[in-house]
Amino acid sequence: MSTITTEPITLKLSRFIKAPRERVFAAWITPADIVRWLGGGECHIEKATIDARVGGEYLFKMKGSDAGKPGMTGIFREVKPPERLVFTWMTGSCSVEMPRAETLVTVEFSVQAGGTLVQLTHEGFPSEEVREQHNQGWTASFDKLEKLS
Amino acid sequence: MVKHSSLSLDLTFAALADPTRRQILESLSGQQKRVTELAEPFAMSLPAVSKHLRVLENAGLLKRHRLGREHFIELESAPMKKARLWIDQYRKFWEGSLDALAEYLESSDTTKPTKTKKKGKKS
Repeated sequence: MSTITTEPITLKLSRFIKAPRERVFAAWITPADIVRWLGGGECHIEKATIDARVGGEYLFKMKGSDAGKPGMTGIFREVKPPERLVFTWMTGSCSVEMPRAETLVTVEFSVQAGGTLVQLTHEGFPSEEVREQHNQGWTASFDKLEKLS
Repeated sequence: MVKHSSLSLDLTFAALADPTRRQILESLSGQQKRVTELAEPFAMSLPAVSKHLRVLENAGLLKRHRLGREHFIELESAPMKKARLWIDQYRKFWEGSLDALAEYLESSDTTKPTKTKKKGKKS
């Protein structure tokens, strides 16, 4: 079972939604919306703070028995309404079993007959290009990565 | 325990962030190789390749054994399994969330967020 492909830890998903693109995009950056749909399983969001601009931060606080958990937090790398959102994502916020690591989520919204196609890419490791961007502006959390390479 | 596994996942991701290192791993798929054999396809010096191998070794992605004077490199699959487990968990997470998003936006009025809680103005 020692077989490996070039993109072993990239997750790609897409979902068609019968709603206008602007509305679907807004649902990703509006706190009142996000608490309604994001999460599930071990991850229930109580409150969201979202600063949807490049370099802006988001923070989702957990509710109920998850209240003591660190919550989900990350930084927006790209915000292009209503077509594209890129943000960092710290894993392990909800599940203690899930290790913590910084990852990257890209969401693309495209108009299709009768609605919007949402395409999501969640990368377990950032591409070279993203690392460059990190180097230029926001470096703190990538110090570790830099030291290794 | 958690600390250890989080460290190793970070190391796995960091090690995989480089295209040369991903190529090295691919070339080892299903077979062990000598360091010199591994270095052959790359337009870089042997020390440069060795540096990449060390990063992969530190991340636990490679095993090295000696047979006489020769060093053989082989894949270690455990960290990759962990990374795949990570993907499986997030697949469930995002599938569930996207389903909920569709359901939320497709039900009733989709022009405005419904059931807005008391608006705590936060930017």
